[in-house]
Amino acid sequence: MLGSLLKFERGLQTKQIGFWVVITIMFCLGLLTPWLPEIFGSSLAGEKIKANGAQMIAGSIASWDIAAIFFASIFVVTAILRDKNFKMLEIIHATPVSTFDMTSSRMMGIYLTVLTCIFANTLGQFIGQFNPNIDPEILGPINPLYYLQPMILFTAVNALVVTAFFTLIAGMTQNRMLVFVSAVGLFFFSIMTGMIVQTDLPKWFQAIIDPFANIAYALDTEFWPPEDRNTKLVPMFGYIGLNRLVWSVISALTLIAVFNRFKRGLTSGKTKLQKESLIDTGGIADYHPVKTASGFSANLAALLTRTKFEYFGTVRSVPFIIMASLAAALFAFLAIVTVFFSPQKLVPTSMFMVSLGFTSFLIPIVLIISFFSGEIVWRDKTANFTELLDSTAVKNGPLLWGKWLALCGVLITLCLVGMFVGMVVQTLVGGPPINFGLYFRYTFLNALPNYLALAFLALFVQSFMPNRIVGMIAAAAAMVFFMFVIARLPFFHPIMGFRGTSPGQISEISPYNSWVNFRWFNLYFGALCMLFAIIATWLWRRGLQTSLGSRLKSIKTEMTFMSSSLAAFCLALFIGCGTYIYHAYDKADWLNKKQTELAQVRAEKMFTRESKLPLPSISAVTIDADIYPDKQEAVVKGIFKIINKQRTPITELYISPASEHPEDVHLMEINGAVRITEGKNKDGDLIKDIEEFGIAMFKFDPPLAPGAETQIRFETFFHAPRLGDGSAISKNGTFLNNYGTFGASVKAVPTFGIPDMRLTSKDKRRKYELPEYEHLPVRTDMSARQSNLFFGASGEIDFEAKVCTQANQIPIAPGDFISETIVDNRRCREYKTDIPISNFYSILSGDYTETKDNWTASDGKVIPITIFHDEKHDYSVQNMIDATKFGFEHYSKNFSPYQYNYFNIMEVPFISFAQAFAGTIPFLERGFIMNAGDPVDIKSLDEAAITTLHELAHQWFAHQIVPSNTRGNNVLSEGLTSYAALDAYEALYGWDKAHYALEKSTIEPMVALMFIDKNKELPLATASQLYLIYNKADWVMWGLKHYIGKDKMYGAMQAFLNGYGLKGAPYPTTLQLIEYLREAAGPDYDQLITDYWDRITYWELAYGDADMKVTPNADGTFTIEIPFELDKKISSEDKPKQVSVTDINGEELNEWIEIGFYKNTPKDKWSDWSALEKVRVSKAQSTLSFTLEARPNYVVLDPRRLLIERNVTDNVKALDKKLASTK
Amino acid sequence: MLSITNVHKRFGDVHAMNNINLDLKPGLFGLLGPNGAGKSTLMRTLATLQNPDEGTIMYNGTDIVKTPDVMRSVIGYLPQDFGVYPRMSAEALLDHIAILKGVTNKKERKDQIMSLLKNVNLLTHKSAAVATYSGGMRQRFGVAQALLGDPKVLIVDEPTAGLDPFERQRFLDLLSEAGQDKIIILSTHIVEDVRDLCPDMAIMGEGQIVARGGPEDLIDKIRSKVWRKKVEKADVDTVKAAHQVLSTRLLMGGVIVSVLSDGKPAAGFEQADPVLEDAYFAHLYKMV
Repeated sequence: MLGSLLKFERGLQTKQIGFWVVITIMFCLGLLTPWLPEIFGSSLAGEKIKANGAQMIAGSIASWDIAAIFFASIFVVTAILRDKNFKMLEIIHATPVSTFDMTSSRMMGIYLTVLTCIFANTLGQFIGQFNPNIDPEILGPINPLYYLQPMILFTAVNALVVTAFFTLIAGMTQNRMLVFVSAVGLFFFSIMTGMIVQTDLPKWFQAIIDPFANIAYALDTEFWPPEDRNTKLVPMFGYIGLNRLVWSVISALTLIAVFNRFKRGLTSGKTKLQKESLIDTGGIADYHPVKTASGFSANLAALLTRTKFEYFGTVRSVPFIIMASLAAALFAFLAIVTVFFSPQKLVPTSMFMVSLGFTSFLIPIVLIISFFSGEIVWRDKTANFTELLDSTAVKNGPLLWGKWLALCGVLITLCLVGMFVGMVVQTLVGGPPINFGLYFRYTFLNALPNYLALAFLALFVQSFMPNRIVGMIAAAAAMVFFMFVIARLPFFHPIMGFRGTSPGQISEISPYNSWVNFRWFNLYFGALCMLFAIIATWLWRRGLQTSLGSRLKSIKTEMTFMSSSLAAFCLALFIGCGTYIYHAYDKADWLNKKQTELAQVRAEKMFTRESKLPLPSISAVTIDADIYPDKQEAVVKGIFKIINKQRTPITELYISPASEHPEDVHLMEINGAVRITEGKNKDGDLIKDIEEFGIAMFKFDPPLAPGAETQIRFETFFHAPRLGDGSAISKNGTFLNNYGTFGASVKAVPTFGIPDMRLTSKDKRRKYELPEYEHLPVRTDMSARQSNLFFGASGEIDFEAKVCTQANQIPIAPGDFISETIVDNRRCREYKTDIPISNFYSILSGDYTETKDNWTASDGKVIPITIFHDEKHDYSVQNMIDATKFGFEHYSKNFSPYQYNYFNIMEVPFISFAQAFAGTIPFLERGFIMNAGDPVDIKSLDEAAITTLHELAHQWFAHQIVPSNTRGNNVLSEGLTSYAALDAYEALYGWDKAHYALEKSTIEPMVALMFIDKNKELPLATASQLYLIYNKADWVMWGLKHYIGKDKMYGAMQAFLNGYGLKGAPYPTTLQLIEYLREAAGPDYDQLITDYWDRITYWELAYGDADMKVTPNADGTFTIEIPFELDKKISSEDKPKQVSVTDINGEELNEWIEIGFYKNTPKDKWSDWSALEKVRVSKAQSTLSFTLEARPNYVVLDPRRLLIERNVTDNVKALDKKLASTK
Repeated sequence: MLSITNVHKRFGDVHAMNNINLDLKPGLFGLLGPNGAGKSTLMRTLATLQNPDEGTIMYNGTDIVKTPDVMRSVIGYLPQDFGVYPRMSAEALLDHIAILKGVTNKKERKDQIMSLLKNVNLLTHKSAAVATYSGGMRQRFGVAQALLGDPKVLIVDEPTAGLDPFERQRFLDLLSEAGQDKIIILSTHIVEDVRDLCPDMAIMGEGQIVARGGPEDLIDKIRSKVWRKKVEKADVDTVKAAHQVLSTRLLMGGVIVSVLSDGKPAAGFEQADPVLEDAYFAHLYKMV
C-alpha cells in the first residue's frame, strides 16, 4: 500500500505545472552556472579557482539549495492540504488506508520532489561544464564526486529541513497562504543568520544557527588555499558535520511530531451559519427601482470601489500583516545589529537609517510583489467569483486597474511602514533628530519609483501565466532578472535596465545631482508601464475562455479606440524617449561592457609604441577655477610649466584633455607644439581613431630638447548634468582632482601620455590573445625610478590656485591660504604652496562650517587645523581634531617634521573613501557621522580616528616618501601609512584596542579578500593587490615592530625618511625600505624579513598530540613543556603552489615564536598575559620548555599575531584540558 | 426579445450546443434537461462568459456576441456554482456588486439592497459574512445579487439543486415575484420547478432543443398514450425490450413502469393522465 501511495504522490506532484516550471528553471540555472559564473555562479571562477573545482561546485549546490525554501512550500501544499482545498477530505479520510501510510507517503513524496528539483540544478551544472564555449583555463578535471558529495551532505539534509518546516506549518495552520508566507519568514531568517557572522557569537553557534549550512561551510573552509579549493571535498566533520547532525535531528523530530499530531477527518469546528429563521419577515418588501449608469461615472465608481476592495483586501489579510511585520523586523534587526554590534559604532542618522532600511527592504519587496501580484490578480478566481463578476456590466479597465492601483497602494503603505520603523528605531537607539525631509525624499524618490516599476512588471507577467503559482514564480524571475542579472550582461545598455530611477544618491548635505536622468528614464519606463497596463487590460481574463490563445485571438475586440489611441501614444512615447536616451548616451560615447572590452583591446594593440614614449615633467601648476554649484557647471583654466627631464628630445606628446567632449575643451595649447588633427601618426594610426579614445596628439616642432621648458595652457568647461553624462560639479561638495579615478572624483586638468586601458584579467587577456599583463618596471630599473607614483614623469611641482565659487560656499585647494574676496555673490580664495608638492592636487567647493584648532610643533611652528563640514555633521569633528593633533605629535616625534603649514579636512558627499592630498583631505560624508564609542571598550573601533591618522600619515608616506613608479610602489604609500596609523592608534588607545583593530580591520578582511582574488598572490615587496598593500603590509610591520621593538622601527622609518623624504628622483622602492628594516632589525631577523617581504609565506603553528606538562619546582616556579608543531608554507610568483619548507631543498626552519601564558581565557584582553616568552624553533616537531613564576591556565601560540598565520583557531589551549576555542 | 439563432458550441469532440434556436419574450422560461445536456453552456453563453462557435444571439436587435456590454448591462445572472469573497458581509458584497452594475447613486443603491435582503429573508443576517451562510441562504443571496440593478434578463442556472423542500419553495416564490417584464430563464433538471412556474419551456438533450412549448402543450402530445403497470423488478428489462418505457419508479417492492403507446401495450397496463415528467422523457428520448 505504501508503495502505491508513494507512486501516486510522485505522480500528483509531477503533474503540476509548477513542478515543471521549477525543475526547468533549476536545470537551466545549473547549465548556466559554469558557463556564466559571473552572472549565475560565483565571480571567483577563473584560472586560480576553477569553475568546476570541488569547492565552487559545493558552494554553488549549497547556495542553490536555498531556492528550495520557495518551491518546497508549493509541494507541501499539494501534499498536505489538497484534501481540504479540493474538498476531497471526507472521501479520502473515510477510506480504509492507514493513517501511517497516508501521512508517511505524503511526507516522502514532498521530500523526493524537492530532492528532484535540486538534483536538476546539480545535473545542469554537471552537464554545463561540457559547454564548448567555456574558457578551458577556468575548468579543471571532471570529477563526479565533486557533485555527489555535496548533494549528500547539503542537499539531502536541506531538502529534509524544508520538508519538515513546511509540513509543520501546513499541519498547524491548515492554511495554504500561511504556508507560502512562512517561506518568506524562513528566507528572512536565513538572511538574519547571515548577519550573525558580524557579531562575536561563538563559532559553533554561528555554524548551527544556519539551517542550510552555508555559514558552517564558510567556517570550515575559510583558510583553504586555492589548490585545496579545487580538489578537496567538503569536510564531513567539523562545523558542517555538526550542523548537519543538528538539523537532521531537528527535521526528523519535527516530522515525527507532525506525524503524531496528524488528525484524520474534519478538524475544523466551524459550521455554517445556521441561525436560520424559518419565520417570514412578513410579506414581500416594496421593490425599489434604480437607475444604472454607464460611461465615465460608472467606470470611475467601479474603479474606486475595486481599488478600495483590492487594497483593503490585501493589507488587512493575514499574509500581508505577517510579511510586512517580517520585513519590518528584518529592518529593525539589521539596524540594531549594525548600530550596536558592529565594531564601528555608527551614529544612526536619518541617512543611515533610511538607506539601511530600504536596502534591507529590497528582497522583502520582491517577495511581497511576487506573492501579492498573484494574490490580487487571481483573487476572483480563487474565490470562485468570476462568473458572477464577469457577467456584470463593469468594464475590464476598472477591474484590472483596480488591482494595479491597489498593489501600488500596498507598496506605498509598505514604504510608509518602512519610514515609520526607521524613525522609531532611530529614536529608540538614541539617534539625532529625525530629518523628515530626507526620509520622504529617499522613500518617494529613491525607493518607490523602483518598487512601482517592479509591481507593473510583475502584474504584466501575471497576464500571461496559466495559474497563480506559476505567475508568482515567473514574476519573481522577471524581477530578479531585471534587478540583478541584466546589468551584468555584456551587451547591457541603460535603456534595457527596466527600473524606476532616482534622482541620485542620497546625502544629508547635498541635494540630488541627477534630475535629468530621473525625468527621462521615468518617462521612458513609465510609458512602458502604461503600455503594460493597456495590454494587460486587453488580455484581461474575462469569462470562462481564458486561455492565452483565446484571449490573444479575441484581443481585437478589446482594443477600443480610446485604449488603442492611448497605447499608440505610450508606444510612441516609449520609442521616442528610448531613441532620445540612446542618442544621448551615444553622444556621450557610452559603451557597453563588451564594447568597452573590445575598445581596450584595440587601444592596447594600437598604442603599443605610444604608451612607452618619453613624457615631459610638470614643474609648476597654476589653476584658475570658476565653480557654479547652483548650475552644476565650472570652468577650469590653467597653465602647466613643463620641462623635458628625459635624455632624449620629445617629439610627440599625447594628451587626454580634461573633458572628452571636444566642444567643452575651449583651449589646449602648447608653446612650441602643434595639435595634429588629421592624417596618421608614425605607426600609421589614423588621428581620428586616436581621438576616439579622447586623446589629442601634439607634435613638437622643433622637438623639445632635454632640459628645455615650455608651457601648456588649457581651459575646460564642465557641463551641467546631461542624460548619460553626469556633471562633475555637485550642488554641494564638489570634488575635482588632477587624475580622475575612484568613481565620484573627476579629472579637472589634462593628463599626459596614453592612459592605461589594458585589460587586467588574465582570463580575458587570454581570450583576446593579448600578451601577459606587463606589470610595473622592476625595482632595479633606474630609469623607472625617475618617475613616481603620481601619474607620469612629473616630480614635484609648485602649485598655486585661485578658486571661485558661489558666496555661500568655500573653495579649497592645497596650499597656504593667501587671500579671499567676495564680489558679486562670488567667493574667491587663493592658495599657494610654499614648498613643492607631488603632482597630486584637488579642487573643492562646499557649504561648510569651519571648525578650527591648532597644533604647535616642537620648534614652535603653529599648524592650523581646519575641518570643513556640514553644520549638522559635527559628530566626529572633535574626534578628527584630537586624532590630528595626536597624529602630528606622534609622527613628528617618531618620523620627521610635518612639511606643510596647514591641515584641512573637507566633508565630501557621494564618495566612499578619504584621500590625502598635500595637507588637504577630502573625507567621506559617512566619516562625519561615526561614533567613536567608549575609549576603554576594546571591541569598538574608532574609524574616524583611524582614517584621520591614516590620511595624516600619508603626508609622510606618499608625500615625503614618494614611491617610484616600480613594482610594489603602493606598499610604500598605503602599507607604511597603514602601519603608521595603527601605531598611532595604539599609542592613543592602548595595545588591546589596536590589536582588536588589527584583527578586525586588517587580518579578517585580508583572509577574506585573499580568497576572492582571482589572480596569483604576489610577494609583498612587489605586490599590487589592495589586500596586500594595505592589509598584509600593516600586519607585517606590526609583526616586525613587536619583534624588534618600537624604537628600532622608528629608527628605520626615520632613516628611510632621511634618505629619501622630499628628495625627488630617484624615488625609493621597497628594496630601499627593506634595507633600512634589515639594518634596524639586525641579522637575527633577516630570514623573517625575507619571509615577510620577498616571498609568500604562511606559518602554521599547532600543538602536538601529547598533553602539555606542568611541573612545580622547589623554588615556587613552574616548568611547562609544550609539544609544538611548526610549519611554514612558501610560494612565489613563479611557483604559486604552497609547499612546506620541509619539502624544499636548502630551506630550513629557524623561526622566532612567541608563546603567551594566561591565567584567564584570553578572550578580549590579549595583553593580559602572565608571561610572554620568545623562543627560536628550528624543528617541525619539538617540545618547548619554559620556567614561569606563576602557573598559567592557558597557553597561546603567537598571541600578538606577529606571524602571517591564517588559521589561529587551534592556537589556544587550556592546560589539563582539550583545545579551548578562541572565539 | 432575446433571439438565439443557429448557435453551436463545441468543446473538443463534445458538441455542447448543437444548432440552438430560441426566441424568448418577457416571462418565465424553463429550460429542462438532464446533466450534460448543454444547459449551463447555453446559460454561460447568454451571460457573455463565453462565445458560441457559430450562430447569433440578438437582444433587442443587438448582437451580444459582438457587443457583450449591451447584454451585461441588462442581465442578472445566478450561476450554478459560485463562490464569494471571504470576510465580506451580504450587505457589503451586494453594495460592491451594485456599483459594478452601475448603480452609482448611494441612496438608491442602499434602498434596493435593503428591500432585496428583506425579500430574500436575509435582512437579519445582512452583517454576517456570506462565506458562513448555509447552502440555501447562499442561493438566496445569489438571487438578491442577480436582481440588483433591475435586470431585464434574469438567468438562473440550476438554482434549486441542493435545497431542502422549504428552501426550494421559497426560492421559486421569489422567482415568480421577480417581475413579469423580465425575461427569466430558469435552467434546471428538476421537472417540478418548470411545471410549477414556467408558462413556456424547452427540453434540451445532447446539445439540442428537442421540444418547445408550454408544459400543457407538451403534455397534450402524449395525452391518452401513457400507460402504467406495477411489475416485478426482474421483469423490468423484459418490459423495456417490448415497449417504449418512459420511466420506472420503485414502489413498495415493485416497480411502476410508465410506457408510451397508442393503445394498451399489454395486460395489466392502465391508462394514466400524463404529467410533465412523462412528456419530458417522451421528448427527450425522441419518442414523439
